[in-house]
Amino acid sequence: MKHSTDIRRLALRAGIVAAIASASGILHAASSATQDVDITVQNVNEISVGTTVTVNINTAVAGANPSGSATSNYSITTNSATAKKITAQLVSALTTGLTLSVNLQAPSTGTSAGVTPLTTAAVDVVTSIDAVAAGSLSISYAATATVAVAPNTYSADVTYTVVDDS
Amino acid sequence: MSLLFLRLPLLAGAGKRVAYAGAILFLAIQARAADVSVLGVPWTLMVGTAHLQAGAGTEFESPIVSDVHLAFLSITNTGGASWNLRIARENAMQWPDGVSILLKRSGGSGEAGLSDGLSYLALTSDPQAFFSGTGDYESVEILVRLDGITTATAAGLHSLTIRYAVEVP
Repeated sequence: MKHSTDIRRLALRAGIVAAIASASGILHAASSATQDVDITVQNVNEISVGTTVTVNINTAVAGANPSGSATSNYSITTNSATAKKITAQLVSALTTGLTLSVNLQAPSTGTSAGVTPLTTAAVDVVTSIDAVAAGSLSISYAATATVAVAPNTYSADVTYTVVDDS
Repeated sequence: MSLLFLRLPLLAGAGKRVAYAGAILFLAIQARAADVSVLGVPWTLMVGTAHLQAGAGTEFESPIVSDVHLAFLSITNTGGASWNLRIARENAMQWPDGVSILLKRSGGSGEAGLSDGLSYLALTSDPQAFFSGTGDYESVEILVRLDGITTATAAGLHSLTIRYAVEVP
């Protein structure tokens, strides 16, 4: 009988030891460590255009100024959470009598402004662009020259810029 | 451990068997402990224009990074016992949908005898078995892959915490 009581006491006290050990964390077989991960996604607003375009002004309808057209393409990637737009402007003024206009195809998330005459002031050519990655979108150039413009080769640089559409 | 030593004399009245039982229990407990520590924290990555597949008009690369060093893990105080390492992500409330962080071990020369962990495993909020082994390992290299960042992923800082837990069965 006493032997049985001792065994119960032994078991009870062993249990107390285990409980104390568990409470103190000694019984925990798992140990852990942590590592923080920080990823910064930067604002990306990239646009690229095709190579140099040649517009030959060699078509004329009687009574109208001679004109010509050409096509190119552009690509755009933006991850902006706010709408963007593309503006276009001439780097320098055209020779008097020349005009140049563009018509940009909009990406799936934007709206094209249609045929837009270019000047040295920035004008919107595509608006309401949300996050998108789109390539090979068309640019249509159209140029006219009055009869006062001497036959020659004239250069025009066009700058396209992605800015906030506000 | 010191707490256990302090308590043992209180049991002296129960006789030697109690003390022996406590000692045996203590030894058993000691044999089942293990620690894990991380060398190389935190890990940061800047995702920008350089990660576009081919410049304007293209999406971000996927994966953004792969087989990039993340950390060295040290598993010690195993007493030669077998153990399992589990991983989980925490504090990821603001983590963008669709973006995954995957881990694997490098399989380098210092990892002989380890099991599993050589294929990428995506972190989830639930702890998952990563790899297992027996005994101490001083330097297990962990590699990372980051998937799923697109132009639809909000720009800004995205953070989470990786928890490594070593368990002795």
